[in-house]
Amino acid sequence: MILKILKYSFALLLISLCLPAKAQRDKATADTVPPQQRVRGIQYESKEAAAAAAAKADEGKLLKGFAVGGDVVGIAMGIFAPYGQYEGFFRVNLGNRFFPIAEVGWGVSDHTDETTQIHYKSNAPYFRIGCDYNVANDKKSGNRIFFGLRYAFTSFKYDLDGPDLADPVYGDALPFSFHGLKGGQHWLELAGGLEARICRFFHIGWTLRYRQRIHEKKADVGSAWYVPGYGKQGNHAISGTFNLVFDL
Amino acid sequence: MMRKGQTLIYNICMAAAVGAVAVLAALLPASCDGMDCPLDNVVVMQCGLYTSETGEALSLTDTLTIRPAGRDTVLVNRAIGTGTLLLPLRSRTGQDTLLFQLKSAAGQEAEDTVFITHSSSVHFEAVDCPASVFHNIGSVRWTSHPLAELPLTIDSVSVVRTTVDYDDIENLKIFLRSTAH
Repeated sequence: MILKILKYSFALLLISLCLPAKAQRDKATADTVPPQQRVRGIQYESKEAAAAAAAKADEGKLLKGFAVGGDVVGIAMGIFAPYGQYEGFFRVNLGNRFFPIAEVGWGVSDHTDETTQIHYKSNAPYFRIGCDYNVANDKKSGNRIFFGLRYAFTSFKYDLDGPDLADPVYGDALPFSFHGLKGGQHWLELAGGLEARICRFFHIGWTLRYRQRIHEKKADVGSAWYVPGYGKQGNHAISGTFNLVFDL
Repeated sequence: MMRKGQTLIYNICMAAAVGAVAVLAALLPASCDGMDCPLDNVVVMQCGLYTSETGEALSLTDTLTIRPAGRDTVLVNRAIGTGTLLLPLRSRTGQDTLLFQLKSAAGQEAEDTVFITHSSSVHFEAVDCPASVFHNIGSVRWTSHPLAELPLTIDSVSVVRTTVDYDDIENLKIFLRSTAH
């Protein structure tokens, strides 16, 4: 009989000890992430190894990032030359090879020729869209060699003022003053250039541009002397940019 | 694979190259900033002389003087042996009246008149070029004198090109007649 009592007492004691333990285990299971869902940190041997691993993980992605930038040459021209432009761009990096780009600028000219005394004034926006291709072998270095194509267009107004036109034979004079003349142009650009990474997110670079006019809207008095974003009138033009580029 | 030091040197070299080319790029537009003016920038109406009988080009054997009516100005002074006349048109008015005065070696004199109706417009090329006045010929009329006065007179005039600018292209064909129809 005593043996029986001891046997049941022991069984009860064992149950009473096990129940809280089970309750604790159930609670712990509810509060924590299952082992199969846990994210485990990876410890690398060095920074280089970590960077290499990150680059490897990044390799498969097409969209590598965005960048904005601006041209310094156009600003310098606007200050020191008879015409210039203030230009910025937004660029997408696709696989470090293709760089679709949109360029927006504001062309300005306020110039009087000292010989003819003809004054030309214009300021208007222009737009370009296109794509660059990076031909550099090491496409991950951040140093790039570009070739690209742009389509550009502008619509603008300009003013012309100058001395009256004297007729040397008959002695008559025609006034030479025209305001609000309308012009427009569409053109294509072939671009080539380099870009160097100065620090992590900052690049500088230059491009040379060959511009080919494809359509021109003339005023009655003739072609505009300066076309915003294109330069001086003509079927083609050569120009350059010096860009400051910031990765976003 | 370049090391960190090599990458830095490479970037510095690239930046230097970029800077050098940027200076060139900045100078390029200024260096290309030449004169764009046309070399032949005199706006004159070009007239060719032809024989009405054969239609062939004619070289004057009598002297020809051309004056605008009502003005003491000579546009062509005693031209001989020429087959092309370069005549300026007036900017302010829409019609030019030109007096063609012919004089033969025998001392005969005669005068024909050519009336040219045209419109004029200012043409701008570039700020460093003087502006010009172009013309657009609307119509041409003429008078002829009797061959008894001088055996060479204007038979007809045809407009070949209406635009008078500084292109070296013939605008009028003046057919001269030396025989009666």
